[in-house]
Amino acid sequence: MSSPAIELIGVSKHFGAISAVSSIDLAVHPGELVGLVGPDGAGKTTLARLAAGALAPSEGRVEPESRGRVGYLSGRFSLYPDLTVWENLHFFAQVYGMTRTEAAAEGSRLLQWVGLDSFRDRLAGALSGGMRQKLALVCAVVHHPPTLILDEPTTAVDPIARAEFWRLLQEQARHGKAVLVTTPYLDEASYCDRVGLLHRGKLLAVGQATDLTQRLPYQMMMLTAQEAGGRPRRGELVAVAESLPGVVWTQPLGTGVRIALKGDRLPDSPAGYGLAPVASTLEDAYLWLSDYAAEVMKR
Amino acid sequence: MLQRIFALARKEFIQIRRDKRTLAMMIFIPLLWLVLFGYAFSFDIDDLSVALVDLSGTETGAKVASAIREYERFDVIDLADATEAGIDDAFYRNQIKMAIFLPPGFGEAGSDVQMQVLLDGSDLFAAQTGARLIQSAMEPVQADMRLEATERFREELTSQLKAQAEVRTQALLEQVPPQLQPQLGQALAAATQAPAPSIDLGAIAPTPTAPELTILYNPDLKSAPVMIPGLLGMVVMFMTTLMTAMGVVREREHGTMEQLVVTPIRPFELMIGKIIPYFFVGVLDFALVYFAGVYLFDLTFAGNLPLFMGLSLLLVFTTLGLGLLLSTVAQNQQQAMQLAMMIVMPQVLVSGMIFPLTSLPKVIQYIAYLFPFTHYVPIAKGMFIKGQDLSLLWVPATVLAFYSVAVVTVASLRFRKRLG
Amino acid sequence: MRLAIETKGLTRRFGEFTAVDQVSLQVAEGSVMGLLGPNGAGKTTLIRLLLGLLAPSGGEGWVLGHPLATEAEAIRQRAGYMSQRFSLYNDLTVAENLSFYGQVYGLRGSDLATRREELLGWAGLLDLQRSMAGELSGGLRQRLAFACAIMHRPPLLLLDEPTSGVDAVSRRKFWDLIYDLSDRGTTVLVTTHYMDEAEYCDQLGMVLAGRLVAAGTPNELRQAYGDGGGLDSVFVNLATAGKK
Repeated sequence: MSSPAIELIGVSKHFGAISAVSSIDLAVHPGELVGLVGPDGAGKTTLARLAAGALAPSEGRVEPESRGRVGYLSGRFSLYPDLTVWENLHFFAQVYGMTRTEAAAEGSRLLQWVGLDSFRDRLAGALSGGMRQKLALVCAVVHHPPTLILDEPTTAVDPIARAEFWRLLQEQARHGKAVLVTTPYLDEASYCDRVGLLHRGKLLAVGQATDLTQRLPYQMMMLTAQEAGGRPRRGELVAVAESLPGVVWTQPLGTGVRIALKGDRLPDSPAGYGLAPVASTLEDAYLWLSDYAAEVMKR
Repeated sequence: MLQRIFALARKEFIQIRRDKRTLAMMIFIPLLWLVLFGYAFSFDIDDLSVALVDLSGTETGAKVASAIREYERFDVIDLADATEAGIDDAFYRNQIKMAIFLPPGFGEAGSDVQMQVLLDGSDLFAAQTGARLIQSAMEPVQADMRLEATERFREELTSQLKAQAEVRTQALLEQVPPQLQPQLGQALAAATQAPAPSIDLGAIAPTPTAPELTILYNPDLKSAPVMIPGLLGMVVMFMTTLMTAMGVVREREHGTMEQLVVTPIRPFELMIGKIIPYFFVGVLDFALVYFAGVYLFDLTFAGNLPLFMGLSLLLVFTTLGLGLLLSTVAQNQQQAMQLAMMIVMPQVLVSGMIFPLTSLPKVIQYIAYLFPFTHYVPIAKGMFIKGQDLSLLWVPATVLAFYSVAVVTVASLRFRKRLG
Repeated sequence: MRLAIETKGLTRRFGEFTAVDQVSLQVAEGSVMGLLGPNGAGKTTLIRLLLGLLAPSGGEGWVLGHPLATEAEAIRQRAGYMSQRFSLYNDLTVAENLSFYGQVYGLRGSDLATRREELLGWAGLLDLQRSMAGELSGGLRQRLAFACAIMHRPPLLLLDEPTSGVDAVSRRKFWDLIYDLSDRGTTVLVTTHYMDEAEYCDQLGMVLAGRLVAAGTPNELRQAYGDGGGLDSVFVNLATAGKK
């Protein structure tokens, strides 16, 4: 792989007594789409800003100095609601030093790429959430930066628009850009080449989603009540689940209870219940890595 | 139903109590306006800067000059250049507001040279004050001059009569035979030596035409008694309208309105629950300005206080309705504030509180009558200053009552519609 | 099996635009029903119809046995609602928020106080009862809003996008609370556009452009429309099919 477009080496950032992120080692290479996943408060925005050079690290370093060559899209990307789609795009192109003709040509191409071309004259404030994010994206890439950093671009956008958006990002990566995206949605990890799991300012793990999932040392199983119909009595199900040998955590889900089990020997289904293995998900891996069991089993 | 209204009102009270900034505004702004309107917007000028140029050289001129100098409301300035040109220059340089020029020849017997009074028209209030005060400044001189004129007239008359009497006596003597002349002459001389009968000039002296001026109800022509009644209404109008509107809009902005709508609360209950706390705000501010005004400016309320409070309640209801109406139009708190300003300020200016209605062009007057506040001002002023009662004020009172019902009705209709 | 919600051909138009189009829905008492759909698909309008806030343009519906068109007040008295934005009063304390909503739904005196204490404990907010609601973090606000919605022990709870923007662990804890209610007989209707959340529901309905395009358990939907993928594939497939 070529040398990284961005690299964070031992990066930490403190705000007074609060440590937002600590000991981050992360590299994003050209042509790679890397996702940083974590809940609110995990440090995603701080990391994005550090990577973009908008924030200086308290410890460690960010290489290379990437100011001006980064397309940065923050969660609260400020589009001008009272300017049209075209006017917004034009403005940002000019801010990054493009000439009128360059801006016009690139602008048209990009708007067509995201499917906003027929909405040129619509006011940005009148766009739906998904469309606004697409506009924000093209405004960020109009000046051809080799690196793209996007902070929670898909939050509160519906799934269809989200899927489309990720396809656009994958295209950008295919064209050789280095793309770093933060998101709270674990399921979006599947769009990424590599994913980093962020929890309370620490990177729990970085790698391909499937690799990370396979690292899970537990077997995931689903316990269901065998009698059909009627109300699933979850309290009961959970009690049964918790009594199984080797149980690490239980989680009621729909009509059943998902269980993480330790050990090689899979228990048999208790009488009157069904117990079947289910595939582990990245979320399970995340919960394991973030020691969820300790948090939850305390109750 | 009552419980829900109570729950809403209670919640609103708690929120008002916790909003320190708005609380401060509720107290600070009325007091600020009180001070501004009571003190600062005074139309009386105590020390009018007046230039005095006396080129007459007469005694009359000197008398006038001294009267002017001694008049306590004038601050007399002696110009470096005591000429007409000097006066012009002083006006130009804003050194003086008024000038009194006694031209050469003023005060000379038989001269019709008049005293000139010049005023700076670019300062309306100074000019009007000066024009009004010059009368009272000249009072002492005019009294003197009248006395003098009467005396002189009397002396002149007496001496002329005497002279004429002598001429007649002489003519008479020549008519008489020479042997009788010395005897007649002696008799006539004795007669004319006798003290002349006093001349009663009262029957013929010119009657005094300068009026005796008495100012009723507000003898010192202070602005506080005139402004404060109207200010009471203005404060209530602004605070109540604004805060009611903001209270509703804030709910909408924070998304809690959405939650309230799905509860059993009915639109009517929501309205009342929202209005109640701000009703108290209006009453509180009214009381604040009333007591502060009476205390600070030493005013006395001349009329029937309970009646006044009752009529003021009509204004409070109107403003509550206005606030509700505003809340259906404004989309955020900032807009609410802007709209409240736009509603209150023009009303204040054309209502007759500061500038008399009759001084406005007819068209504006008609427009002014459309505003509810315009009908409150005569009630407030009338009751406060003159102690008028309903027999005189029933017209504005009725209009105000009508307004309060109308505004609240329209507001609640719109409010209900907006909620749905 | 009794139905907490039943609609037949429920429709709502705004002028030319049909926001809810012939929706026929059945939600069994005590179940957890999820309504999925993108923004603007009509989920919110449907909720407003179910709460009697809007009159139907066509069709009919019953919520907790009350007809939509005529007994809207009764529905609102008995149903609970939690909106997307967690409508809490930031400048009131946790306890004051609970008291307010309790009072609005008719609780008073010692009944109000007892219930309030009960929910403070249940939601884990006892220590925070005097804190301002505005100071709470996302997960705690969510719990408080939830507690406010159930002060009056509603037999039906409508939750509009309840866990948008909340992290996975808080979401799991939140769903524990929902399941607890469901076990005790409360019917829960959740709208969401987040697929992972759909997994938590007993039954799902997919809403697109105002129409109910699919209904069933998560498994059934996966098998019928999933193409081997998860629920988001179901969604995307249905959506693209709808566009054709």
